[in-house]
Amino acid sequence: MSPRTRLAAGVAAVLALVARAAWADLPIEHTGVAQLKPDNGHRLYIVDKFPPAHAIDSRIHVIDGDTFAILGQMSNGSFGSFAISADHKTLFNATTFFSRGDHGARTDVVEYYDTSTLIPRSETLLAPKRAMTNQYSVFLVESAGAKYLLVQNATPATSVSVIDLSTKAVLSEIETAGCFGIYASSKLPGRFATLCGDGTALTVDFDTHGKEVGRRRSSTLFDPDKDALFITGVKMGERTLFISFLGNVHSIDFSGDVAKQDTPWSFIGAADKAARWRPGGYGNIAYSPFNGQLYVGMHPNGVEGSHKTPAEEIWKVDVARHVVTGRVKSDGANYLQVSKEAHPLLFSVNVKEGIQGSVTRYDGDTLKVLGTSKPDLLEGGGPIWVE
Amino acid sequence: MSLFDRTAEKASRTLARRTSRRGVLSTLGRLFVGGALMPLLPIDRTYGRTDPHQTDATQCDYWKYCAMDGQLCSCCGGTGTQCPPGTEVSKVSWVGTCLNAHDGKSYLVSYSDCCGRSSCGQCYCSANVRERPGYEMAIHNDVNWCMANSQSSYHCTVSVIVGVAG
Repeated sequence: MSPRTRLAAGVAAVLALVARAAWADLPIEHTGVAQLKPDNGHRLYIVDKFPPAHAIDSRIHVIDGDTFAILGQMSNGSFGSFAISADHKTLFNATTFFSRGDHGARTDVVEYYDTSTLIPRSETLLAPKRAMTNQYSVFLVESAGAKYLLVQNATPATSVSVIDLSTKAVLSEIETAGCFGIYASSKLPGRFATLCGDGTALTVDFDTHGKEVGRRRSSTLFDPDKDALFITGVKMGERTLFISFLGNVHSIDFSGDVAKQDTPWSFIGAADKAARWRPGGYGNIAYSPFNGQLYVGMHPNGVEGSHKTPAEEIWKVDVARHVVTGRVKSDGANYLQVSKEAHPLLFSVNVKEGIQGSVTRYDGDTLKVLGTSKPDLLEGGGPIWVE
Repeated sequence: MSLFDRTAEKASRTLARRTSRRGVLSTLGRLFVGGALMPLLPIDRTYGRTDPHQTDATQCDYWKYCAMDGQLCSCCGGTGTQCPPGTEVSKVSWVGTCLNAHDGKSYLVSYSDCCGRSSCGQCYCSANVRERPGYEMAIHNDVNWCMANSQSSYHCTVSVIVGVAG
């Protein structure tokens, strides 16, 4: 073998070794199911792909509020509602399914998802009269003491179904004609109120069998024609805060046997009223008991019919002093939620032209934007819950 | 069908038979909508969502869609007033009061959903003039008005004039 040949053979041998090392077999893999990241208080539950664009296949995404990564998903069926239990362990999913996808037999059901695994552990079948509606947090409500689950019905005659959470059995259906929304008493498990079309609230008491034992109608609380209340209220101790279409704050106490409210007040100054700044959007209100601040999605040039306009700004309002303490521009916030911590985070779900559905995280005290998801994280993007 | 639904259906049919009796409709409009109590002030009540002059029923700013929230059936095999083949008209509906700028009159418009198929996915329009939350159910557009049908999945929405509001 000539020296040149030996050199070529040596180079070939080295290359072969290098190639073998480079193309070594990859380790064997196994499929499995990822563990859900533990809830750190910034876990978001957000409804996505909801009606009317998606009438039968809405879903609830679990999203990491710190990174906006999707962690998991649950079905929200057709015009579903959802809520998280007070102990954070269960997601109540009240929805409707059809046996043949978009037709066939209708099944109304509450599913009880384990929030640590996202697996439904049990269910309660309902009469086919659950309110098929865009979601607001007041259509599926856990009672005081986590004893009952209250489900809004509409056929369109309205009523409330009472589920005993210890047995998962439907105890009763309580008629609430002309009223809508469920506001559980903060004190008594067997008491809820509902807002009515004449501007009053109806408070209903029921016993441990779900049987109605009393009802009282309040005095007039608001004018549905001139200055209607958005149906979503946020808890502030024993009171529930509502905002009106014109931006008045109504603080209503539903804990007693008849609803009572404090004198309504406005946080919109004269110049902003002249510019017709008004609340708008769907779940356009959030409140933190830690800093006493109310967050409201607002838009200018408001007129009759603009009450579902997504926010151009989010305003922070000091409830004790009735003054605006901060404003931040918004890319169409439609839903707001705030984390339950001393220095809260504010989250918004946004939709506008060019933004299919995004989530923004703000410092709840300064309103500084801390991060925003990609614009198409969601398709629409609906109600949000932070745990 | 519940007593409420039977009553509502009967009332609707009665209303439909009397569409030429403007006095009755005007009264109903006051009762159900409250809109007739407000004079026709020369202000825009449509917030850019609807144009009282607009006459193209395939566009969101069509004057009749001032309280429309849904997908236009005219984009889904139906028309502005007719549901697409294979679907059924909702048994219950909501109403709006829309100004037609050409004759200066406000009309009661009934919006019905078409049911029994999944969402059409086309031509979504949302306008909310005089729309109110569900405690005023008759003028509320956030619920699935297919709710009372045996096939209650939502497909699209049509609208018809049912009378003059005032």
